[in-house]
Amino acid sequence: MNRRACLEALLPFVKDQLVVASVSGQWVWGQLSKHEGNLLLGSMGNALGVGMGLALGLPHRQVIVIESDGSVLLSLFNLPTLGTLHPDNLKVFVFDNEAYSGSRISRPSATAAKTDIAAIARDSGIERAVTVRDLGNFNREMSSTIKEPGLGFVVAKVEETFEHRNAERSDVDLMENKYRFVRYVERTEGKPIFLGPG
Amino acid sequence: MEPELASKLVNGLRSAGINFVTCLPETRLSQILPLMREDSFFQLAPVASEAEGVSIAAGASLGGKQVTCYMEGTGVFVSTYKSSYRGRTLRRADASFGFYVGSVADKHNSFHLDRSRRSLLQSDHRGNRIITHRAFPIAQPSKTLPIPLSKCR
Repeated sequence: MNRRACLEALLPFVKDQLVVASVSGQWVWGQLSKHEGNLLLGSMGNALGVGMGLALGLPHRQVIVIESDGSVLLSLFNLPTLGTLHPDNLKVFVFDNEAYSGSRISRPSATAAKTDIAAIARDSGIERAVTVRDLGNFNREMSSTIKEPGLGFVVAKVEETFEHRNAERSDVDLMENKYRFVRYVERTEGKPIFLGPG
Repeated sequence: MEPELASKLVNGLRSAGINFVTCLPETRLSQILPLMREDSFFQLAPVASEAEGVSIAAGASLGGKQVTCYMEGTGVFVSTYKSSYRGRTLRRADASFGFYVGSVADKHNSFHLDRSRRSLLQSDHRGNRIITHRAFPIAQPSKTLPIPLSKCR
């Protein structure tokens, strides 16, 4: 199973949700989806926290977070906080390739050894945390996670691919993406968020 | 902290329109937390690390909340990466930090004195607005304290 196939499967399920992607997911997701509700962060260790904040701030709105194993491990303290705050409108997808693939030397991450992110999530109070290892199971879990109410947390074990190293980078600047995202939230929520000076 | 001061701080946040607060309790300002918890105007998000408090507040602010991150001064050091990122990429004019500055200024109270102070200045330069409060007299304040106390910019 690879991440692109999973994200292609996720694509038709994204309508008016807000999608937050960490650095590794954003390259592929940014290519696949031009949804105005995409927030591409360009950093590791931030997507889950930012997604949590969005979900808490807009509890009537579904928020999807696209994460990776390295990014989750960098901010592991997010999991007990997520289990405690438990926003029912948040859906988390962690693509776990068991490697620091962006480093270009592909050193194994802790999940290549004994660390089980879904188990940590469950023991942190995220009851519905599962690991899937093939596309059929991913489709099933992804579909039910998106459609059913409640906090969802799916860890997808994916093979390491190197397409992100050669992938064409988006021509949308991250700051530009942020403004587009916020204008989309303003329009769909019917409230001003970014106000001009004065 | 005197109950009167706690009440004053909470009222100040409320009148500033702050309605979402991430918090990791520290010793000397903790008295404001029960007041905010009892007040439905505030949405409180207790966190396990000041770093994630910054990320969560950034997300909430993009969703339209008026946010602040409540932390001890040393938390500024802990959250340097997140606050630097937030200031650079998610720049918000109304995102702010609120914390007790004694631990930054008081040599007897902070192992991370110089680092926290540098982090604080860096956060400021990165576009985050800094709110500081001095809740107690500082026994021996640093002579080179770089930030104005009780000043909201």
